[in-house]
Amino acid sequence: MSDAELLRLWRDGNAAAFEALVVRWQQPMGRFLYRYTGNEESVGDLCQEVFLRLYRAGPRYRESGVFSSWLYRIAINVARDAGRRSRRPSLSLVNQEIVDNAAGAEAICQQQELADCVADALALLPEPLRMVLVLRHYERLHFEEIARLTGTPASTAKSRFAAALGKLRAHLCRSGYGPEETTS
Amino acid sequence: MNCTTCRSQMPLLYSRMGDEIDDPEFRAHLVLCPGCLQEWQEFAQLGNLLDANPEPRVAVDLVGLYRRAALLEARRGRRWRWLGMAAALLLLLGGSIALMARLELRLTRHELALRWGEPRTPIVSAIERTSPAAANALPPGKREEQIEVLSAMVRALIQELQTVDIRQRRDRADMDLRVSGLQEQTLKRWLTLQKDLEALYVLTQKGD
Repeated sequence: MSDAELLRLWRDGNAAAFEALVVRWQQPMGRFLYRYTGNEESVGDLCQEVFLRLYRAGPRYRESGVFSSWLYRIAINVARDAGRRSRRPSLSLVNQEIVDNAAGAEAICQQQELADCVADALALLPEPLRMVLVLRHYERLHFEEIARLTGTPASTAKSRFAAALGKLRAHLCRSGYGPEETTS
Repeated sequence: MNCTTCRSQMPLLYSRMGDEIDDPEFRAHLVLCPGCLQEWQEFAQLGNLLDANPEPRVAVDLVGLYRRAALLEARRGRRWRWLGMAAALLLLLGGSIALMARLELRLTRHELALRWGEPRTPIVSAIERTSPAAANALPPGKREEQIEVLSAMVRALIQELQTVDIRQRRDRADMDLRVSGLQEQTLKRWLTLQKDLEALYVLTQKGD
């Protein structure tokens, strides 16, 4: 069942449809908010806030738009509001649990360091560049959709994406995680 | 395709990574140019690096969400209620002020007056108008003019009184003359009557 159908059902009074939407979108929203804010501790709260806003704004949703774009727009607003409230730069996570538990301790440490470094590099990107990179690389949104979300032309989104990649590469190289180092 | 064009296209082609690169010119250049090929491989590794950053597991607390939504709705309802009450109070106050400006309620010992309309202008009493204070309040030129008018009126009144007095004196003298003439006539008639009566008496005695 598509998002629009679930939304319609929910607006007709079917609470299970809303719960299905939440289950479907909670992980993508959590992922996006984590990449965008770089703060793992607040991701749960931010995600909760996104779905709370969705729940309260549901009746005002217009069928003409794409549901995912609308949800990402809410998430961006929530993240920006949280950023304004905290007034501190987002930081990389330190205690990220590594998925591969079977690997040795050294490998786990290396992967941890790499994850920290990538998170740091993401956090250091200017907000517009980070948003485009996250939406394109992690969320796989088209540049046209990103342009609609950010309110900029698609060409600007593309150039921001290229600039973000360039800065990211430069930062990772400085941190010793350049492509050459990882391949060796 | 030269190296500059090729490298400028890399970020966008990288963004389509996972799909097959459908640009034969780009692919041909990579085969011929080891530098650009290395750059492209670095882009590919950059993608791997980005993916090395794991994502946290997120689970939305639906019960908490519903509870908070209900709380916010209740708060919004309270806010609207307060706003409504404040608006009603303001309206009431404004209405009262407007009403009081046009409504006059006067309660005295023998009178209860209820009046609606424009506020009354105060009526200046005759006493107040002719009081020295009110006269002094007139401009100097106007005051002198009023004094002149009053003096002329007083003079005319005196003249008229004198005329009336003279006429009354003359009338009184005329009446005195007429009264004395009438007294004389009465006395003459009385003497004549007395003589007649004496003559009659004499004749009556003679006849006996």
